[in-house]
Amino acid sequence: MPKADLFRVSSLPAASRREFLRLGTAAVAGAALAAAPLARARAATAVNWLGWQGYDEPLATEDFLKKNDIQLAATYLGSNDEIVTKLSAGAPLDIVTPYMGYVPQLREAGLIQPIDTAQVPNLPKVLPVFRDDANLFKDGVHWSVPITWGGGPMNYDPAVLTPTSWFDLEKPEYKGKIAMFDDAVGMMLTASIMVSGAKVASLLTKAQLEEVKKYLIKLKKEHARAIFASYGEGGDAMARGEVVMTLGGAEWLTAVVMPKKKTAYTYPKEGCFAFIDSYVIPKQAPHPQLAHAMANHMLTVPAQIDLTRNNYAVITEEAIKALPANVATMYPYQNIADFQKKCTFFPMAPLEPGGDYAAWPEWIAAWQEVLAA
Amino acid sequence: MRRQSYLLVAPAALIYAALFVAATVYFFVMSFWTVKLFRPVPNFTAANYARTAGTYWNSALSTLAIAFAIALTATLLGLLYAWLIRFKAGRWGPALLFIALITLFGGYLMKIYAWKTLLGEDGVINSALQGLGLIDHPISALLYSPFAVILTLTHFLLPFAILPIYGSMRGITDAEIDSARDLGARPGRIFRDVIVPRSRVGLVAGFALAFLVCVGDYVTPRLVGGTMAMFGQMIQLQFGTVANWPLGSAMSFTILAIALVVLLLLARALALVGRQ
Repeated sequence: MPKADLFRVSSLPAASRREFLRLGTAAVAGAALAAAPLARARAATAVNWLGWQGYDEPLATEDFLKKNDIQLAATYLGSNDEIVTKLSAGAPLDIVTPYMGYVPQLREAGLIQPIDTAQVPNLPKVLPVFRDDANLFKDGVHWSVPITWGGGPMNYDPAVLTPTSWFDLEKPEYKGKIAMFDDAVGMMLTASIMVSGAKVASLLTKAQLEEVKKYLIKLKKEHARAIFASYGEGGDAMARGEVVMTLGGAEWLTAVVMPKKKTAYTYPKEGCFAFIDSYVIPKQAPHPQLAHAMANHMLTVPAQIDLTRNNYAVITEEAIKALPANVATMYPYQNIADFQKKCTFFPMAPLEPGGDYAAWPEWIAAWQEVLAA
Repeated sequence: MRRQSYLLVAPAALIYAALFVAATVYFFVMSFWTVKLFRPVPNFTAANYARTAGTYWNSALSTLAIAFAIALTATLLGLLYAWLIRFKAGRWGPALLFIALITLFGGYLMKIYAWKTLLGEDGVINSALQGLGLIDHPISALLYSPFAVILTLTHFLLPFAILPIYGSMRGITDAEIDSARDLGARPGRIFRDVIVPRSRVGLVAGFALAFLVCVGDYVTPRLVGGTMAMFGQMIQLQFGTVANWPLGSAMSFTILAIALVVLLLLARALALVGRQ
């Protein structure tokens, strides 16, 4: 390569003083223009949100964030325990979205604030079964704004069987065709409903927890095809004919699997666990007013319908009426009373060991033994 | 010159120190802590190690056994493949090396799902066997079994075994092979007495890479392992679900220590083979 070419590559074009000034002025003006939106963004209020992925997306509907000048800093959860950890550490969070079983413990620990219902005019629109659940509503005070719900039904292949009981899982003809899931709460609660004999399936003595663990190990060793990493994985296996029924499950799975195979779900006669997820405002929330506004927005029809994009259920009467046909049958909206009869919203096991009942870490230790067995 | 070398290494060393050494030391210290309401509390207790040894030894042993089987399979296959590239393939050697390398471009999860497609009851293998009339019913043990985990991880880790072994073999000159042959050694003897000992560093590196990845893996068994669980899943539950980082750290360092002992023993055994 000639030396001149090397030099040309590395040299800058010569510029006169006037050109230099002209370019400099243009650059400063350009930078100012580019920085203007940034300056506006900086003026917006940064709201810290910690919750399950997908529960933040409806906040973008109807330009809610833009209209309220909110810059949402969303962090997604790996487990509900992260909420307890972060709130105990005094993290400046405005909204958290715990499983409803955690709400009483967060309330008793003084980590959350009551909902000012005057700031959430949409709250009365929530179906009473969810709004007034004992975990979330105590002594006339609401401690959360429910946004979605679901149960832990049994998914099954109707071409093979029509189960009515969880104990159908033990039928010898379905050996090796049962799906379990790597979901400690779902598996342990369902097994507890089946075999613990406890009045409240989540409040178990250590002996009862041992019974539940032994039963799950037996089911795993003698009947299960796999402990699937997610409900979606289990649904896929059902679509491929690898499994015919599940311990625990999800209502939405039937709709998701439908293009590949017709499946169904049922709430077996022994009962199921159920959940409500909600917007909860921490006691130390830096922007409680905006947090209330966000919770209220989550109950608007467009926000609720937006939740269904991620297969979540809607929770208000008017949202149910507005559901598009493709998701209208994903959950038992037409028979909520039946759901209420068969499914229970259990409180969480104690978070710390030492009381009468087995604590949450002991549940996890038991689940680990099931996995390792 | 020496000072210049240190300066050149400094950025990488700083990143390594900050992201690996500091984090490792932090978690090692934390492994002696306790936990209160999901928050680590500074303390000094061996309780987490005692619990690991008392409760999780069974899972640790089965994980080590599976990891050993996978690493051994990958290393032996890697040895064979590297030997083919270096000594037998001639001008096709680079092409074989390229094929081994290109499999690294496929994502980890993509490989797992590819094996799911192949091994399922309605998968390619079962369908082919049924089509050929060799079986009446699909073999369900192909997927959701330890076999599927071993197969999937061996496939994923094979290039990691091939590369260091091939690197070692490139150091073996044709003169060494010719000398052995001239002295009357048969091909098997040359392989045993020249090629394997001279590839020792690559063999240890290849085995170590495969073994350590397997010991810590928790995704593959969750997706294709059926009801089996590996130790990594137990650790993940502590960090992810119950927020007991001190116990998770103690479990991690326990399995790491055992894995390092296994690797040291292997390196020692191969050194003895080399001396003989």
